[in-house]
Amino acid sequence: MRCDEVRVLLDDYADGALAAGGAARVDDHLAGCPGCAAELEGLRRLLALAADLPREIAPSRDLWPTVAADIAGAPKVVHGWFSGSWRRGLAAAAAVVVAVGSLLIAYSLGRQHSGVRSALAPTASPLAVPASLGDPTFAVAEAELIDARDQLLAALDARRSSMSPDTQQVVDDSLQLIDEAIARISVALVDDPLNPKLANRLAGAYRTQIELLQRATALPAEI
Amino acid sequence: MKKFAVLAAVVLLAAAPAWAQRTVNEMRPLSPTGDVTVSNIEGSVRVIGWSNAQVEITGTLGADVEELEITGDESELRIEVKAPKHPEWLETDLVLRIPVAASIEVEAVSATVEVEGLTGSVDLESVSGWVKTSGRPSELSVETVSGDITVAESAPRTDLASVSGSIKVDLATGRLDAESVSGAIRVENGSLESASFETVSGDISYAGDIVGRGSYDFESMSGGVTVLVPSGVSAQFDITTFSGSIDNDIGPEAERASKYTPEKELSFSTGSGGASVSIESFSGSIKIRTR
Repeated sequence: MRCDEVRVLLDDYADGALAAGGAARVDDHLAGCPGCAAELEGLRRLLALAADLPREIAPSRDLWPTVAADIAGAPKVVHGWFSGSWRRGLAAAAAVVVAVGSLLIAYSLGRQHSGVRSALAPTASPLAVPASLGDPTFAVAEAELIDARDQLLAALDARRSSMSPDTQQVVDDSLQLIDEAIARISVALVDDPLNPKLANRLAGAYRTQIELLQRATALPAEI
Repeated sequence: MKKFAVLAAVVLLAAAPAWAQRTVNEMRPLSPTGDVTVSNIEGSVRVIGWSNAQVEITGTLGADVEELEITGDESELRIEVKAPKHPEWLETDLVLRIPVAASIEVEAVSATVEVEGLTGSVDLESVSGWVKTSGRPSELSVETVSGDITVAESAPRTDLASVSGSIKVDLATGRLDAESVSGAIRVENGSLESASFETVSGDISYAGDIVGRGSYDFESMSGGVTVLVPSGVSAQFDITTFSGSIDNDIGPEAERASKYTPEKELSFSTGSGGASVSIESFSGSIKIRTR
């Protein structure tokens, strides 16, 4: 079997829904193809992740406090000129992004895969907000990321007077670049909502933006 | 004659900050594996390893510097340039000789930082000054905002980060994490066991070996990623870009990942596929070349 033929069957294979003959042929292929084996492993991880997801997705105020506290503490110089090293400060934001990013991915995968779909039942959303892609689960997940970004943007604005014009320019240009990427990926997701890789990419773009903001708000004063 | 005297006085006054600089020449005991912390605002800090169980501090203090405060004991020494609230002349150049295996931590604002020949832990921070290191410390961490980072030889564990400064590593081994926003990341003569490179718009260039079961992650939004590997490399490559290009010299061509988007993907393995190479960009071009 070719890789593209196997990958179409991986969902059912992972579920044990393939007939014995088909499963045996996939087995043979996987034994000699690290790429497809990795794809299967990734699929199983996502299924496990989706199975572990809570039935109810907490609203932003439940996910956010750790990050908010971290932002509030960011300007304080804990160690050296840098605010306790930006990497340490990223941990909380990264946790939110991972959690919410996983929702985006699992959601998108769930639109293809019934096992994931059941883990992300429509009743999961506590917020009756209009979904960016027609599904409240996706909208809630995306709203978490946007909330994180907006709070960091406010923190960045408060710190601008201590940043050099050059650094501000670099940060602003980068934020704009990522915004454009998010917009383009979002448009692509409207066209191709069943593509989990696009959801992954969208979560990655938000993660990059939030990391950049967290880093920028933790920079030492230049002026 | 009177005109000459006035002119001489003006010249002398203009040069006042230069001759007002004070020289430093201090010596303190430090255990061979002691810790040294230095902070300087403007000028330079140069740290050199030597075999003595002492710290020698030489250099010049800026005219407005209040004092060079040296505190601590044989296990931990702190050296700090103390400045008044609104200084004009702070340019302070310090040269430190410290025990080779001692740990050093330098905090600088617009001062350059140079570290040579240390085997202990090295932790350097500068806002706008460049940072250079040579020798092989046990651990190396460098962070800047706009200062360029140049590492002649990496440590077993190296973390490098900048906003707009470039990052360059000449001889890279062990584990290396490098991240920047707009600054370029360039690694030459790499023989890393694992590496992670991340930029927003800066280009990433890696030239080196892909080792055994090593893991190599490259991620950029708009920056280009160029990976130069030896011919006959043994690795699994997973490459993806949203709207950039993928130019591959060592395997198959990339394919469109979706009929709805310009996404391209390329996954292939070479040799026994032991190592893992992951490259991702949004719009940056990706190139895989052989050395």
